[in-house]
Amino acid sequence: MPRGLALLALLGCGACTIDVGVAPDAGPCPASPDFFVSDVFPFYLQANQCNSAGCHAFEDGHGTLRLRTPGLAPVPGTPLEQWPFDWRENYLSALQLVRCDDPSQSRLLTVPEGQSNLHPPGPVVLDRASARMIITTWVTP
Amino acid sequence: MSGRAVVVAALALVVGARAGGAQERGEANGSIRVFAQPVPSAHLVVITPTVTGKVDAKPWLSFDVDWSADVVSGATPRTYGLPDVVSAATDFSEVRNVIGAGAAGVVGPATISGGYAYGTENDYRSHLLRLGVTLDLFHHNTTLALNYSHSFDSICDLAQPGVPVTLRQPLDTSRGCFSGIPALTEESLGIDNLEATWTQTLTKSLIGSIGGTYQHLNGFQSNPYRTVRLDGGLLQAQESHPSLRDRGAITARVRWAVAKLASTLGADLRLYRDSWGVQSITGELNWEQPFSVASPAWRYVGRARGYVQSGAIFYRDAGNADSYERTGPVGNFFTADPELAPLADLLIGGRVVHASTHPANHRRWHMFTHVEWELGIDYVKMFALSPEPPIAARIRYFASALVATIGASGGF
Repeated sequence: MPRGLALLALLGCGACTIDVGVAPDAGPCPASPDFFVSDVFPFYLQANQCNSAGCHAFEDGHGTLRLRTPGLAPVPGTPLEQWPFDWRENYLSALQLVRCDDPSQSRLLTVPEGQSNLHPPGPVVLDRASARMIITTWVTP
Repeated sequence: MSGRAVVVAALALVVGARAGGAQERGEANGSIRVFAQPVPSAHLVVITPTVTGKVDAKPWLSFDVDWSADVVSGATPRTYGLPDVVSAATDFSEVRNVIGAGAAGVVGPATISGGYAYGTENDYRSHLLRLGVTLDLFHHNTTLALNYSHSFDSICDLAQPGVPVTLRQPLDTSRGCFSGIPALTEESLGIDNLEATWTQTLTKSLIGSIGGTYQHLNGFQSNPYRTVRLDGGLLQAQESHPSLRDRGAITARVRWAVAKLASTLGADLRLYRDSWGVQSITGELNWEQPFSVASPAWRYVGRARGYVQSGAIFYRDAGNADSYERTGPVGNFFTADPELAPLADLLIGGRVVHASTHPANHRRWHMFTHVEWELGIDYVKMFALSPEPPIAARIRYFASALVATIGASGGF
């Protein structure tokens, strides 16, 4: 259809809207909430100072990963919906950066390891073996 | 001012040319526009300097060049969805540059033009080609214009081939864009734009124009940095927009010359619709008048504009029961774009203009026979038509936006 006629058709018809399709059934990675509290946060995120001011602290951080200063940790087995707000948001923020299908390729690992040249401070995770062990254990059912 | 002259002046307002331009060999224009959204928690400032120049090499041939830049700085939340993430607004700054050149030739009543523009910023590249033809008929009483452009754009994004839209992550930074590193990729976007305008002298004091625009976009149209919370926050994915969009608008304008006051009353009406379901209507009234009829060098322009739009069919408001966070995406799509939310705005603005003409043997600064300065300010108040649109803080602030413009143009 010539473009001029397309304009008239667009303005005149009520059904000329895109088809939104069907939502993909890809769900989130079911990484263990309890392991996040017991290992991932203290021995990976905190140990590598990810939540420092100017890095990925919620208030003034950079990038997708944003970490709040959490209070008392939830008791193991507590449903995620009942977690303290700060802990839940930290878990959800970190969860976006892991891959269940290939844990070693999780951006939570590759970016701070400096593998993709996208981490402005450069590589900050020096003990890569331990880091990979933590993340792999976290996302493996 | 004679009735005919008033009509010519009004015509100049509509078509964007100056009444004295016909005897000039070229023109130069420069302006700086400052756009500010002043809300402290998510402030935004855009400074846009623009310089254009045109020279008539022959009576039938002219060349033009232009440059503009956007210097953007501010803080903006990148994630849409509750809980409130305004305090996590990310500071950013960027500079966009666009440089272009073109030529126009006159063949009988037709002016045929063409040009090219290149735009660049850290995470965006654009090549634009344009063609146009204008027919000046019946002693300037009728003008028909047809313009077409195509833009080849490239947008930097995170390389995520095959990843479902609900798992796609946003780009964190423009660092490394267009450098070929494997973690990043270049998305493409093609934009066809077609405009047709008919301008007609209706009576000795009334002129009108009607125009239509059609735009077809094909490619990556998301903001690569924006994220939407889905499914209770378990998924926080890069916003996902359709790759195809057709946009159309019809605009009608009238200018009525009030000879007794040497003034012009203008009224504009624009209807818009696109294939994402956004519909809008814009109405504007403006009034231009010299401060003194006896000394018309100084004049003022006041205007008021109202705008209202519906939301896109895949927009879901974070404050509603069917939000993305509660019910997930709408098919394949979800957005954090405030321009896809239902909203309205009211603009009130004014500008002061000073124009002077100089004989050819006494040119201003040894160059210009016509010089015009203008200083303008616009106040914009936006109104949310849904409970919690993206960047709601900017909308709710007493001044959603303030725009200041200072400009100068000269003909030589």
